[in-house]
Amino acid sequence: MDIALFESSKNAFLDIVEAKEYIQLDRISMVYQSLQESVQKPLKMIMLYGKPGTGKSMFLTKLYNDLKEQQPIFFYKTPILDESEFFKTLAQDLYGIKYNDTLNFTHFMKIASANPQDSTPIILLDEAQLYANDLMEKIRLLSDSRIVKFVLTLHKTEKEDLIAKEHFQTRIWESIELKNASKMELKLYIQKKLMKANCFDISNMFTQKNITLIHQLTQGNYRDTNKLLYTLFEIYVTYIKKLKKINTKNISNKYIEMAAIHTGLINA
Amino acid sequence: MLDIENLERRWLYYKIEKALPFAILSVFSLLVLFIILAFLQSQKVQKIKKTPLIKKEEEHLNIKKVEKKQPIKTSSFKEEEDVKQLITLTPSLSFIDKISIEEPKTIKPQIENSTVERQETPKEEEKSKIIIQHQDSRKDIQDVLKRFHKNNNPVLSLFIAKKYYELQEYKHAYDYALITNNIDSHIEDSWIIFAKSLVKLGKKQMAIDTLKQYINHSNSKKASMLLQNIQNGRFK
Ligand SMILES: Nc1ncnc2c1ncn2[C@@H]1O[C@H](COP(=O)(O)OP(=O)(O)OP(=O)(O)O)[C@@H](O)[C@H]1O
Ligand SMILES: [Mg+2]
Repeated sequence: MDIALFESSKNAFLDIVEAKEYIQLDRISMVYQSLQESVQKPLKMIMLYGKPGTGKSMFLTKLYNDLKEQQPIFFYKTPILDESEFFKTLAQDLYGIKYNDTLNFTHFMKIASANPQDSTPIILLDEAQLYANDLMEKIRLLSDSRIVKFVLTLHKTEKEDLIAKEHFQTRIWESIELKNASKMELKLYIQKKLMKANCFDISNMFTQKNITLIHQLTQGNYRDTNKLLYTLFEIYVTYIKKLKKINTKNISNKYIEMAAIHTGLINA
Repeated sequence: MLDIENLERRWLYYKIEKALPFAILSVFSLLVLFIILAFLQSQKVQKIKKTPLIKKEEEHLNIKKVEKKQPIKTSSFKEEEDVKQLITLTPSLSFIDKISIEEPKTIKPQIENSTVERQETPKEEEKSKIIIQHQDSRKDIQDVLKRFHKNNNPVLSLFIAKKYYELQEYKHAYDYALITNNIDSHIEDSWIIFAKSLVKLGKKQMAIDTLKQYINHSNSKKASMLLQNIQNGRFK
């Protein structure tokens, strides 16, 4: 089989968060649809949470991309730490107002009420667990006043569970959990990724046993699966370059295990 | 390119290590089985040999046989326990491997050093509240750093840069802004933090040059504003 095919399969599993890379899977699409519906309701703030690599940032990116033509929507990928800078950024994005001096919450609220908008703007906050509690409290107030609608992702660790208790478990929150893929979903994920890259022949090389092993190694985590498969195809490319005879009928579990060793999913 | 030979070797070790407990277990159980069989065999032979010779002693011998049997039985159990111990030993070996693999991280020690530095610097008059906040920030940085090493996400390195800037550790802020920039050179905020840190480190001219260069091909308003503020001395 052509080495280029393995190269493009490899690149299909680069860890990139871009809307065009988004893949629809049943459960994911359902969650996504409910997210899109909730976004249109003015009342609640939406929190996406889940373990690392379950696709939270991917979700926000997709949402941003789908809505940006229709309504004002802004995506803050890295938390803005300084409170004044946060409100300055908001004032700039929402009302096109530039501020050179510090801008506090009260002042921002005055600006907001002086500039009523037709539709509620949406602000997407990724990595929201990194915002300071004080600022988070103000974000809540902002949301309560319906000046902006926030959708944020929360990276789940023990510490954040605590935060979740204090802030996020009130009525104004709607929370959506993203989970690792089931074996079936993982199979579809791999197939669809390869289809997208036009690697049908490679996609056909995967057997149920391969999928079972991959799921066992990655627990269905998308990021880990990306890493594993990227390395798997790198192994294939290396072998082909070395002119070694390899089986191109089925994916070899040995190579999957080697990839897992290389990526640290197996300690050896 | 991958070091495929090395990887193959590691895979082989992994397979052997995985199969080892089973191999040991089966070898030992075979051995135990063999010993028991051999013993029973020898008993039979003894019986056959002894019966025609001394008939009276038979009862006496029977008791002896029972006595003999018991200690041997327990010893075979002991061997099985030994086997189990041997098996439980192997995972701990792989654990040691794990540690030695995780050790050589380059950036981590830097952070630990700086934690020490930082904890020494706060003046005693400072309120305890502030110190707690600082430690929280530190923990945030370390958590994020761990994740950054896993996914190399520029969003996270930029966060670290911002956090260091907030903690007034401008050298670190500069470093992580640069790291972010190397991963993705189109992130406005990383240029901003980069320039701001440069000013704080006393390299105003370099900050101005960098910003000008960035503004040239990005038309960033935020950057222009910062440039102005640096040039007219409002930001220092
Ligand atoms: N629906 C999807 N379609 C295509 N790829 C996906 C999808 N969900 C996740 N992925 C893949 O998984 C990787 C990790 O996803 P993402 O970065 O969104 O996780 P995350 O939940 O934001 O993780 P973290 O908590 O570490 O920020 C992405 O690079 C992407 O390639
Ligand atoms: Mg993310």
